[in-house]
Amino acid sequence: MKSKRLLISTIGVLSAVSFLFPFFIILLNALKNKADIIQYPLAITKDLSFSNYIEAFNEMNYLTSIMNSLLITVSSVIVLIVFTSMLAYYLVRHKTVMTKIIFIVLIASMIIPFQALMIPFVTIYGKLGMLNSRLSLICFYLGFGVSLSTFLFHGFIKTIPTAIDESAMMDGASQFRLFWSIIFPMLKPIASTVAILNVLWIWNDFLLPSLVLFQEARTLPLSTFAFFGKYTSQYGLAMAGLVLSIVPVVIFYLIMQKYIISGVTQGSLK
Amino acid sequence: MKKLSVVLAVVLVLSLFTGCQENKDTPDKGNVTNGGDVSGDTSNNENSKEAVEVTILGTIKSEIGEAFEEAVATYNQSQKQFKITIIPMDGQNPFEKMTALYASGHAPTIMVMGQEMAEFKDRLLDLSETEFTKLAFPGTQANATMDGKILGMPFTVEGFGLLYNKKVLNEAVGGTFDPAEIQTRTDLKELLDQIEALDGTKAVHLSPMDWSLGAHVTNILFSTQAKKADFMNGLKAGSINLMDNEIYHGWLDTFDLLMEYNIHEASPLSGDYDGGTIDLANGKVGLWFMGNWAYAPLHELNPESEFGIMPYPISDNPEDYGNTHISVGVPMYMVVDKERSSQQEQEGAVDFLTWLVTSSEGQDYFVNQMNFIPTFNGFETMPKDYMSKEILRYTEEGRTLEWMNMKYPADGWPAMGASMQKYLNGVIDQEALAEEFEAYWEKQ
Amino acid sequence: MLKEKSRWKKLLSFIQFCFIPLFAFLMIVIIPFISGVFNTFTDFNGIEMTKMVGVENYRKALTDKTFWSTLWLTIQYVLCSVIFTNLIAFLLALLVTSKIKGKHFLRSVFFMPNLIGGVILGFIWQFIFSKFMVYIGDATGIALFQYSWLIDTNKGFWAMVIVSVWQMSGYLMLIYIAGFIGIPKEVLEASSIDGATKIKQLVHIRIPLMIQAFTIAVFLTIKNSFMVYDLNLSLTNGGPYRSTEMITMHIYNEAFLFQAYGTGQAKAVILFVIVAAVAITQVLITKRMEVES
Repeated sequence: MKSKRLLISTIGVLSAVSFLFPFFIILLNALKNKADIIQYPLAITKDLSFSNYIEAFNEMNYLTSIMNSLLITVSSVIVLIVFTSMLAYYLVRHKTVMTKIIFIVLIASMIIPFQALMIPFVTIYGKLGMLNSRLSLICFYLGFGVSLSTFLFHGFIKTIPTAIDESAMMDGASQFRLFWSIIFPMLKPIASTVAILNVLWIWNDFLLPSLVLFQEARTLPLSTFAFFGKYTSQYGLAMAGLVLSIVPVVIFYLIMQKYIISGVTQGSLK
Repeated sequence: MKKLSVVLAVVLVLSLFTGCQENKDTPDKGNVTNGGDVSGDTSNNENSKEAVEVTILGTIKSEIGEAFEEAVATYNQSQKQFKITIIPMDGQNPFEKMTALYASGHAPTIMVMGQEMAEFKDRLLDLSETEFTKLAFPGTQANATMDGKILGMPFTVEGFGLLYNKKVLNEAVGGTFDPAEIQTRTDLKELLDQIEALDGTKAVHLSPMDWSLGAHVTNILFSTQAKKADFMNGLKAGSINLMDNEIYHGWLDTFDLLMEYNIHEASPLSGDYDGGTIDLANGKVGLWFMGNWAYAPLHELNPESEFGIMPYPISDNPEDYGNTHISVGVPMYMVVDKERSSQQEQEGAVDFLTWLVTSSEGQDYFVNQMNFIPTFNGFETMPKDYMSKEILRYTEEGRTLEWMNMKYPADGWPAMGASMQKYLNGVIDQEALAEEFEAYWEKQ
Repeated sequence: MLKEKSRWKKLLSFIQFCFIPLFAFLMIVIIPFISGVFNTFTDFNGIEMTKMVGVENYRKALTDKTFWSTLWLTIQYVLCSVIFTNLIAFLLALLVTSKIKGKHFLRSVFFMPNLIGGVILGFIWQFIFSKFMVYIGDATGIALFQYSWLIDTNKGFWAMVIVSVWQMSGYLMLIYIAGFIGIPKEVLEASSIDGATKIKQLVHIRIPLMIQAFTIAVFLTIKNSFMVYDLNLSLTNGGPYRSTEMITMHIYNEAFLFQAYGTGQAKAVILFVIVAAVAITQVLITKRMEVES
C-alpha cells in the first residue's frame, strides 16, 4: 500500500515537472543574453540580469497596453456573464421548438472558423464606422462569446430544480427579479468558470483586436506581437516580453482557481 | 467576492466612459481631414491649427523599425502641415492586413507593396509626376508600371548571391581574395576546397528557408535563361522540358556543390537565418547564399571583418551569362492610396516620401540608419559599407540579373521553395524536381 | 383577453432575457457568416465584387489536390490529438482525484498551459524543439534529439501532437474531474461491497456513468484540433516542405498569401460542413452511450 502511494506521488511529481518545464526554460532564459541562451539553454549562467525585462517593459508600452487589455477584458466578461446567463436561463426554462433551434444554432456556430467570418465582418462594421473603438470591441466580444458561455450556463441551469422557480413565482416575484435574486446567486461556480474561460480567451486574443483596434488603444497581445516582430531573434528580450504578457493571467488564475475547481465544470456536463 | 465585484463595476464604468470619450474623439479627427478635403487647397492649410494625419502601414521592414520610427518623428517635427502616423503591422502578412483595412474602409495612405500591387492597382495614386519618380534610376520602375502609370516608388535595391567573409577568404587563398577570379563552377569548387582546408571552417552555410530557396535561388534559374519571358511562358504552357534545359542542370550542379560543402550537410534543413548570420560573421563558414539585407546583423556581430557578395556561377564557361552577375532588384515599392485617402493625405504622403529621398536629413536616415541602397539621383550620402559598394559596382557595370521572382505568381516562391527543400534534403533528384516545377507552372 | 395578455407577457420576458445577446450574436456571427457564404458564389476578392460566378470557387476548391492532402493530414492529426489528449487528461483526472498529496496544486499546474495564447505557446515550444532539444542531443549524444524535430516531416507532426496534448489536457482534465465527482457515492460504495476491484469498478461503473464527460471532452478536442492554426503557424509554419501544413493554415494561405480569396473562403465553408458533420456524429454516438443515472 505504501509503495503504491509512493508510486502515485512520483507520477504526480514527474508530470507536474513536465508541465512546468517550458515555463521554467522561459523564465530562466529571459535573464540571459543571446549567446548564453544558445550555448547553455539549461544552465544558470553567471551574468543573469533583469535588463531584458526592463527593455521589454519600456518597448512594449506595458502599462498602457495592460490598462487597455484590462478594460476590454473585464468589461467584455461582465457583459458576457450578465447576458448569457439570462439567455441560458430562458432557453432552459422555455422548452419550445424555437428555443431548441436557437440552442442548436448557438452550438453549431462554435465550429465556424474565424477566418471565414473575418473579411465580411470588417467589411460590414467598417462601413458602419464601428471599428477603431474599444466600445465596439466589447460588443464584438459579446457576439462572439455568446455561444460558448450560453452553452456552459445552459448545462448548469438544467440541474437547478424548477421547484425553486415555482415557489418564488407563487410569492409574486417577476421572472426578472426571480432570476437575479434567486437563480443567479446559485450560478456562482459556473459563472466563475465562464469568467475564467472568457478572460483567458479575450486576454490572449490577437486576431480580433488586430482587426478592430488598428491604430489606438492597443491591447497587450498586439504590443507583444509588434515587439516580437522587431526582436524575434533576440531570444532573451522576446522571452522577457512573453513572461510580462503571461504574468497578469497567471495572477488572475491563481486568485480564481478555487472557484474553477469547485462547482465549475460540473455545469458543462449535465 | 463583494469587494471584487465593486472593483469590477468601477472598472466597467470607467471603461465605458473612456469608450465614449474615444468615440467623441474620432469624429473630430474625421473633421480635420474632411475640412481639409473640402478646401482642397494646400496653401490654406498652413494656417490651420492641426496637421493633416497621414497613415503608413508598417515600418517598411521590421528589422529597421526603430530607425524608421525616428525618421518619421524627425519629419513630423520638420514641418507643421502633415503628421505621419504608423499603423503597426504586428507581424501579420501584408496582403491580409491590407485587404482587411481596405474592406473596413480604413486603408492607410502609404503602403509597402511588392507583388500585391497588381491586385490593388486601381486604388493606387499615379506617381508619374512626382519629384522622386523623375529622380529614380532608369529601369527601377519597370515592375511598378501598370496601364501606363507609375504606381510605385522604387524603394532601394537589394542584391543577393553568395555572401563571403573577406577575412576567411583572404586566409583561404593566402593573400587578398578577389571575387572576380571566381567565374566558373570549377573556380568555385577550388575556393570551397581552400576554405575547407582551414582549421575548423566549413565552406558554406546553405539556408533552407522557403523564401530563400524559392524566391532567390530559383531566380538564378529564371534570369539566366537566354529568353526569360519565353522561358516562363513556356513553363506555363507546358512546352518546356527542364531536363533538356542546359541551364537547369548547370544551376543545380552548382547547388549540388554547395550542398556537398554545406555546414549542415548531415541535416540540410537544420540551418536558419540566425544560424547563417552567426556562422558567416564568426567565420565558421566562408560563404552563405543570402542578400545584402543581412549586412547589418553581420557587421554588428563582427565589425572586424568585411562582408562582400559574389556571383553564383552556373557553368564552367566564364563567358556564360550569369557567371559574373549578381541578382539585383527592387524588393518593394512605396505606394499611395487614392481611393480612401483625401487629396491632402495623398499630398502629405508624396511630401513625406520626397523628403525621405531628397532632404539631407531623410537621406541620412535612408542610407546610414536604415542601410538602404539609394535608387535615386541626387543622393549626397552614399552607402559606405563594403557590400553595398560592391552591389553598386555590379549595377554600374551592368552585371546584374533581373529579379524574375517579381513575376512569379503569388504562390510561386512557397511552392518552388517547398520543392527545393525536398531536393536539398535529398528526398527528390533533379528529374523529380523538374517534374514538380513543371507541374506547378502548368497549373498557372 | 387573458390569453393575449399572457402572450404579451411572454414576448416581454423573451425580450428581457434574450434580445441583447441574440441580437449581438445575429449581427456579429450569423450575418457575417451568411455574407461570407454568399461571397463564395461571387468573384469577391476581399474588397469588392463585380459578378456572380456560381459554383466556380467550389469547383476550384474541390479539385485542388493540396486541399485534400492537407485535409487528410489534419484528420490524422485530429485522431492522434483526440486520443492522446483525452487519454492523458483522463489519467490526470484520476491522479488528482486519488488520495495524492497536493492535488489542488497539481490541478493548477496541469491547467497552466491554458493560460497562454497559441502563438506564444508555439514560440516557446519552437525554442524547445529547435534549440533546447538539439543542445541536449549534442550534450548527450541521443540520436533522437540530434536534430530539430521541426525539420523532419514525421517528427514535426508529432511535435504538434505533443504540444497540443500538453496544452489541452489540463482543460479536459477539469471536465473529467467533474465527471468523477458527479458519480453518486452510494453507487461506488455499493459496488465496493459487492467486492469489485478498483480497476473493475473504473471500467464497469465509473466510466459508463461519466460518458457525458467524454461527449463534451471529445467534442471540444475534435473542434479545436480541426481548427488548429496558431500552433501550426508558430511551431512549424507548415514546414518542412509544407508537409505539416494543416487545413486551416492551407485555407488561410490560400486566401491571404496566394491572394485567392474566393477559393479560400469556399474551402472554409467546406471545412465548416465537414467539422459540423464529424462533431454532430460524434455527439450523437456518445449521447446514445450515456447511461441515465
